[in-house]
Amino acid sequence: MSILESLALGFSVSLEPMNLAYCFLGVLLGTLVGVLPGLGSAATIALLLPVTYTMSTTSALIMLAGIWYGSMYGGSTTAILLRVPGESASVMTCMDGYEMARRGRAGAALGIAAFGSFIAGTLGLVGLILLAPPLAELALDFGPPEYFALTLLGLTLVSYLGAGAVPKALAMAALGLLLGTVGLDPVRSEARFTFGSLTLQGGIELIPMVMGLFGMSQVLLLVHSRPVAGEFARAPRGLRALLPERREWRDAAGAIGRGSVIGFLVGILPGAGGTISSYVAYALEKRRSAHPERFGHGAIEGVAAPESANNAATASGFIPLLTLGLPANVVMALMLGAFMLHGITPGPTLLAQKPEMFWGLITSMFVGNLMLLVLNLPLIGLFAKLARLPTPYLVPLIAVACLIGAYGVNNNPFDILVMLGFGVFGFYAERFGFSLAPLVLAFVLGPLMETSLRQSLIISDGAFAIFATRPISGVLLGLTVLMVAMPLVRRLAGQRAPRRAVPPLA
Amino acid sequence: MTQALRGRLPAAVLVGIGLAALYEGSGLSFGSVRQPGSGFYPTLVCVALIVFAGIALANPPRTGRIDGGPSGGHARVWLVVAAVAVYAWALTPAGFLLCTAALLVLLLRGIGGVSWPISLATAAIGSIACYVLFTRLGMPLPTGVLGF
Repeated sequence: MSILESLALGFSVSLEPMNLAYCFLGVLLGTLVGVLPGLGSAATIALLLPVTYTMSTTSALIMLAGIWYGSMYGGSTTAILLRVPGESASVMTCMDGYEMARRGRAGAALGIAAFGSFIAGTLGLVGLILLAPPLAELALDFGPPEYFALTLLGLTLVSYLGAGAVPKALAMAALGLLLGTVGLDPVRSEARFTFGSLTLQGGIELIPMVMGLFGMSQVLLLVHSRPVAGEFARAPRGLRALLPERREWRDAAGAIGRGSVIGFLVGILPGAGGTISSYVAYALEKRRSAHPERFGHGAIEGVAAPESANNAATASGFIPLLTLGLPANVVMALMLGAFMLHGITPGPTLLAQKPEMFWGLITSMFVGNLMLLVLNLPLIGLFAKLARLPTPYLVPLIAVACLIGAYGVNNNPFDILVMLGFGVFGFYAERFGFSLAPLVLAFVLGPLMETSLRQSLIISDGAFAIFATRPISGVLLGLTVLMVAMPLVRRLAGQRAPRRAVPPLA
Repeated sequence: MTQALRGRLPAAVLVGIGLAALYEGSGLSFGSVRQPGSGFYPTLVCVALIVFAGIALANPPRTGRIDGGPSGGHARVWLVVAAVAVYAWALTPAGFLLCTAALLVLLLRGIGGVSWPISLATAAIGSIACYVLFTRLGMPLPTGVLGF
């Protein structure tokens, strides 16, 4: 099937009235959770996952994907008007976006964020369309050694690219792998770490874990700190106020293009996603600018680049999941959960076996991006008001969402206790600077990693050389070794060479 | 607790978890490299956890959010934790509406300092709205003593 035929098939699915409605619901919910600090896209998707039982798989995926990329749009609104990033991917937008708003250019900042997001999201989808089919074909050659090497590379990347110290991130990844072993052994069905509990034999559920780590922990963090009233910039009135001036368009155009490319490339890497891509895009714009001193003081490129990058990254984040069946970030891990819930295993065969679902999901993101542009521009004032929801009301809102989300998995109050346990863990982990993303990704990838490791060793009669001698797994393993060795080499080189001044990011 | 000790505590806890899991997993069949058993992979993972957490333990953070936070912060946190634990225990016998309304009153009035009338009204409206929305979406929530 040619790409045009595939797109036609996809649009015939995504433009069905029911799918359009779910797409709209998804992007609307995504924008709302992006606007509200605390309740992120991961917790919202986890909350709604049980609700999708009764929906068709394609509709469920379209809605859940809409929540994710919609939250990126919403996050920029609060970042610009309140200097509060609704999503972690909007942190860099705060710096120049809020400064622009303070100088009376809130409309231009919001406008360029929305247009930049739309352009980058669309370019990211074009990249996804071009790259996904050949990658899915390549993935058909993957056997257990390749999958083991890929999961190992993924976990190394997520630990090295994420926030915080690398040993802490690796320790969290190891803890995630350990938690993934709770339950029955996937090969011999022997109970492991269940302490005699029948409930634990099925393993730890992903949804209560995510609700706890990303939802309840935020409740506890909000309850712990005394909220300080922020200074709000005035929201622009009327659509005309959202249109950037010609000079601003000229300044932002290159940043949008470069941000889109960086976001797309970084978004494919496990663990990197929108947050890292926005940092990289911002840093690049600042370094290549003739006037880097403008950054942090209301440079429109400082809004355009990170916002474009995080939206392009949301599109490319789907590539590993749809082609290899491996999630690149926590939200993709939940999307994997959504596929599994409906009895579908994403991966190299998805495109061949379910083309209407594959292309329907991708084309729905075109439609959703357009909806977001139409939705966000006129409703920015309303979203800005919502973002000012006081913490005393925000805390119960997130708490109840977490409780319902956790209970809804199995209709079992035990899952609420699991969620609470992970909430307390997440609260302390955040306070002590331990990144949570490696833990969740390792938990999701762990069973695949174990199965592929054991199968590889059985195939090779115990020879670890199987991972190095097969071309694809050899390359993947080489990349992992390079990833681990690079900082060590750099550190050694740094000890020998005199220190050079590095320009600060902000 | 001193700042240095506080910085080392989380990594020490992770090392402890790794050691405990290694002990618990020692009862599982390890097998061999040619035929890995149920305990093969968990043992590798436990060793990795102990090693990485050990490195983190040896290099405690110099900076970071490890301060005690605002006064009463931890008391509020543990009050919420206890309330949610009671919520989980009481959910089936008392029902979603009663439990959720009570928890909302605690969070709004007890933690958030919202006035009694607004707390009660928000709790009543919020719990009923959630019940109606999620039961309509096909999620069976416990009815408890109220019977609906």
